[in-house]
Amino acid sequence: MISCRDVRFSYTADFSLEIDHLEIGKGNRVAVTGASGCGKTTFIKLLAGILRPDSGKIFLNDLDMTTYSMAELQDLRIVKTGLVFQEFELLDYLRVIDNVTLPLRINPVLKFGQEHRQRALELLDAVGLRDKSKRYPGQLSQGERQRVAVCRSMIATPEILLCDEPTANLDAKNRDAILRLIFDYCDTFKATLVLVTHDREIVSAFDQQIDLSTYSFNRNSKTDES
Amino acid sequence: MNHSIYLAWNYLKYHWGKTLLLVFAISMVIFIPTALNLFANRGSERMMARAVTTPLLAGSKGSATDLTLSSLYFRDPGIPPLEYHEVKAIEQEGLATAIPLHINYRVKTQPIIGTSNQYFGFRNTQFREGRPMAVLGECVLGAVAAEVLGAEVGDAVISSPAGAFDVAGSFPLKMTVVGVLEQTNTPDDDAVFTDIKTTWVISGKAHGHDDLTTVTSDSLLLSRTDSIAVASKAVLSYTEITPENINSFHFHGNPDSYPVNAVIAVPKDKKSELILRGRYETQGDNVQIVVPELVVEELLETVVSIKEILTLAAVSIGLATLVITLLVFSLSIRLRKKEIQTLRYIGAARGRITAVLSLEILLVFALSLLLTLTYLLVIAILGIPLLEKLIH
Repeated sequence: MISCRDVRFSYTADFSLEIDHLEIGKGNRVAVTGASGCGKTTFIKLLAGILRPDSGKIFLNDLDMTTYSMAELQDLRIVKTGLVFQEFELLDYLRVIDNVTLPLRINPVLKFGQEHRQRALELLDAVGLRDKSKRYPGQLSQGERQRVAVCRSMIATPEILLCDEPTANLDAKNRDAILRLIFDYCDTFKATLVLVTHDREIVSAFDQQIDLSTYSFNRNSKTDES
Repeated sequence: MNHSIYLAWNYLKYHWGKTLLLVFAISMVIFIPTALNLFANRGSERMMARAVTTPLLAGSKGSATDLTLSSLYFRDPGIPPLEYHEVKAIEQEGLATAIPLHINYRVKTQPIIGTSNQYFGFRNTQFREGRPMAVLGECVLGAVAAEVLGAEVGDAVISSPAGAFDVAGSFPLKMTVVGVLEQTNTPDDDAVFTDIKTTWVISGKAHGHDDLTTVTSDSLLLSRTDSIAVASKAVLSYTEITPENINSFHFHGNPDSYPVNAVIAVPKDKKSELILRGRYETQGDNVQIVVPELVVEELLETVVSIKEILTLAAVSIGLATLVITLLVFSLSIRLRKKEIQTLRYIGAARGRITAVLSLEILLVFALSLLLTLTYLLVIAILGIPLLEKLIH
């Protein structure tokens, strides 16, 4: 369960994100939409604990994230959440298999074992990239790279998937494949999904939609549950 | 730590071009001053070792350095020769054993050292095969000289004229090789040792030819009386000393006035050494006596000063390279800002990111050090013998 109460965040005087009250139930699939610059990415970063709100509270399973230090938030993030970015953000010097297992190598909270390597191969198998596990990201297509990024977000079996426009750079076929992969994961592990998208076509597949441009951009915010 | 090393190593491996360039640059910066020191120290040790085992050197007054270098390393003498009676003078009073050195001639590129058999005992040189010189016209080869000249016991080597226009100045004498020395890694290896009298034969001070008292051809004689026969230019000197003609070899003039480039004086004891040194320092005639150890020490002080300047220059370049290397890393970190941000976003501990970046630098330095050690190993295997050759 994710909960936001009276959250206020601003970069400059021109921009502020305000969410009075928001509840996302466990296992829910939430689509976050809105015009460019309305704060969708900021919203994802606040939920992930990458940014701290200026005021208000964000709860993750009744844990008040705003009371955590940045180091604690990093530990929490790597265990509880999986992140997928629009630009994939794979490390060009690591092979596909190593990119997938990267979260297990960068924080001592997670222990890397042989079973994780096996799990990475299973994930890659599920997205049709097992035979490319030894390649570097630069040797893959856009769609393949995003599939690798999605696999990376799932390697530690997080409770929450936070995706920032993961299908923005993909064609329809790849988009559908990525969404199917994410949805299958959420179904299997009862994971909560918060996905930022501009794509109106896919919104109907979600349990809940939050339109940030309607409710939050320089205004008193409300939540809209569809 | 394992994961940090793994990530750092993968980064360096993927960017191998940049890594190699850095490793090469850093390794050269470490290697050059180290090798310079190694070479200078090894060279100094070698030079000192030779000088220390040579107690005193006598020669004409002039540069003590020239006298020492020519006597120890068989370089062309830069000072005029002594007369042979000086050798006798040193020995006569029983203060020291005098070993003459005559260094003017060569067999191809190898120096001919006219000396006495005492030289081998003095240098504690072992014979690989054969024996010391016994009669005029015999020679003993140093190990390298034997290899270079392709000669062994029983073969003959011929002295070369001192210069293209010196055909009459020195006789090309065919000498029989009677011994080859064990390798000593000293200038002795390159030398062709012969008796000093043989070098006088080469110089033309002594020679052998047909017995004029039995010559019947008038063309060989300018005049003849009952007691004197005057030879014409048609009488040829022998170019090889054989058992058949050895008795015909004779010296013209007083052998006491024959040239000697230097004399190694081996005093009987410390007191004898001091007396000998005192005598030559006060006499003020044409002879000087030097302690090679002191001369080489003085020479090495200059070398050490040059080495220090070079080391200072190398260290300055090293520091500059280090600064540039750190700049490269710092720029690289700036360029990798997005990658670092991604790592933080997906939950990397701050310490882990710092560890990975630091390990990349450490690995580059470790590889540089490894490469430097490889260079030094190669230098130790191949370079030191080369250096020894240069020192010779």
